[in-house]
Amino acid sequence: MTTTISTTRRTIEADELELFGAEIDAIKRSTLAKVGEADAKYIHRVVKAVRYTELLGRGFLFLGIFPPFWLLGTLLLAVSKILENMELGHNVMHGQYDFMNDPELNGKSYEWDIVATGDSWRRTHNYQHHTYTNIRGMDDDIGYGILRLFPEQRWRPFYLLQPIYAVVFAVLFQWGVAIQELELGKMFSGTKTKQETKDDFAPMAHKMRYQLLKDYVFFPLLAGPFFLSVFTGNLVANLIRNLWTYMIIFCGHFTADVELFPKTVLKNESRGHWCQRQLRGSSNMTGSKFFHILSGNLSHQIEHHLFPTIPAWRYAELSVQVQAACKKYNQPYNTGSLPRQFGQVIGRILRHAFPSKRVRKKQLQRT
Amino acid sequence: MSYITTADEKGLKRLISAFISPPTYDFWSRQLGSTHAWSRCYARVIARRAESSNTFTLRLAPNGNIGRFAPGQHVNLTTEIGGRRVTRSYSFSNAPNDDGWVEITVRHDPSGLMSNWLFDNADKGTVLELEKVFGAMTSDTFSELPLLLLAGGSGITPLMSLLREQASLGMPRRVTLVYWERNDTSFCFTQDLQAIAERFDNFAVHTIATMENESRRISTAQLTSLGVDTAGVTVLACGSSAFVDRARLCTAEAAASFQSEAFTARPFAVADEAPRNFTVKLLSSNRSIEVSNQESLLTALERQGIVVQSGCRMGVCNTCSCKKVTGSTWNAESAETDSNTNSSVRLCITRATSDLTLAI
Repeated sequence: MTTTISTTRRTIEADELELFGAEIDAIKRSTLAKVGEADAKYIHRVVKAVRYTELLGRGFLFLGIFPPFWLLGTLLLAVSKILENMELGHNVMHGQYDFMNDPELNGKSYEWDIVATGDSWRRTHNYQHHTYTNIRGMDDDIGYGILRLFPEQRWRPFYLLQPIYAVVFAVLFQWGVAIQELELGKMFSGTKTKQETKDDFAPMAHKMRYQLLKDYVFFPLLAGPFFLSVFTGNLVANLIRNLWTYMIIFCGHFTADVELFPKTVLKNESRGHWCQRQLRGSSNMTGSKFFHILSGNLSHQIEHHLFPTIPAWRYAELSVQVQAACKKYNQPYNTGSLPRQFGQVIGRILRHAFPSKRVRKKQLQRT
Repeated sequence: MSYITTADEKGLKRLISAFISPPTYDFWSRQLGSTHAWSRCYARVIARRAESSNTFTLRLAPNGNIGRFAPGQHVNLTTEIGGRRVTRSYSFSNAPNDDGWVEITVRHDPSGLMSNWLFDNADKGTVLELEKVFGAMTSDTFSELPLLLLAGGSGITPLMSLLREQASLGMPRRVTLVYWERNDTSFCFTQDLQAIAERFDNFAVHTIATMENESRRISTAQLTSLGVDTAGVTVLACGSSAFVDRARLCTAEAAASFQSEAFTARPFAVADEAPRNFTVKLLSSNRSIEVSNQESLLTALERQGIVVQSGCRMGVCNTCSCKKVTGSTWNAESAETDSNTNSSVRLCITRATSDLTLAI
């Protein structure tokens, strides 16, 4: 008798999950049908903002001998770099604006202004991270191979130092992302030869050299006697972007209630299960319109994972529908302010530096 | 498209590219009101004039990135309509010159996305993008054989370019133009044609308004009654595919050579194939979709929400070309089946005849 009851309940839950998945897909279709002129206008405005803030930022830095100009120039350049990286580059590379048929905004060829190459990002992020979100052993974004953020990750003594090197990683974040695909750990453990690593590094080195020369040699030289003010301004602008993107990205997947999944979830994963995994593996942030834009709308990480190819500026309107669907089907929807979410991330970094065990929570339903 | 400095950029360009990427360069050029660009070809409309009741010519000043064209060739014209970049091919209607402008002649079709947009919006100052000059229907400059030009409707435009070039060379060979339009008010270049005819004795022009009358369409009898000699001449025919097919029947046998260009794709012929579905595997997105053999691959992909770069949708511009890794397809233009591996297919005029793998 008890078996029958539990089977029935599990069937109902599985059916409900499929209905939930179908509702998410319906939301996706109805929004995709609206994509067009408004989205093109929006991204053209973003491009304009990126270019103008860059020009103003670099302009003020040329006059950076006067400290307020240096500060203003650095901040404007940082805003430009953040916008280009997140609202423009990241979203364009997801193919959100491919409908425009514009070669400069094409997902497959866009090259962004950070040391990581667009091609490497398309593989590690668009494919691995978005397909295998929060699946241990498949999504390299879980701690980026150096941080232990979940009790399911095996503890090793060197994690005791992670509160320190997590900060170093934040400061150098774009470099970490750039070499993520190298999987240096594999070279040290011997599963990858030095030559293979060298070959993989060649395109990265090319991009790194270009980025370094541009920000730290060419533009400072152009400023002549103000070499140092431009050099330091560029350095600080890149630092600000590193810290900002680190914070936004970590808040998207490493807050307290976010779950990690074993590889077994992939077996016969239905559409409903996939949606549920994206939902439970991501967390949102609340904030102003300006904050959402500066985060590349990744403050709507849940919507980004459910709809990675829908222009991101629509996530705010989508979140209303997604939240309604979550409520209807009793699914969690993880959101909070930046301080709250980032506080939880710091909590994880500190807690899991030490040995920790998983507190049993309700598992993903498998039927 | 990589924006990183490459060794083939030289001098000043190389220096500039150390600071800004080509898209940034083009952006500021546009902001400053210039059509100058890194490598893309933008053109500003510098004049517009009506050619007939529903046809107009745009004189364009392209930036330095346009290649030279031969009379009879076309160019892809691109603009953003409703947030999407739309590309269509137009023939140059002028003869090549060194004055820095080119002309295209557009027939306004109220149901045509591009021609309608151009009709409403293109005027002095409008900036359009030009890409890729192409087309194989060009006359052999060194030939002395008489030239017979057969124009059906807006097929007149590339032939006008050829004729104007002959005129600028002093009409070294005998040229006959026979030009059909649906009605009297549709004829383009009327004054220009008359002026050329007055200047040169060895040029003759015949215009025929078909008025939907079958007997006025191109036929051997009609050409004979006009006194048009097809024996041993070089024939260049341009118009709809139906027109070109008829022109070929009437002239190809007697003529020394026959070249043609049809500007509407042949109807997507699937008549003798039973409707059936095939699986298409898309490599870079790692997806598999079902497509019908009753429609072009481009239409089938778009139906499934897959965005593919496309342009003319009639097999001309090559924008939608992609690599077919395995499987066999049928090409509506050549009416041939292609079973080669790793061959290039134009999605808009190709349909599946087996399961396929495409490198998109």
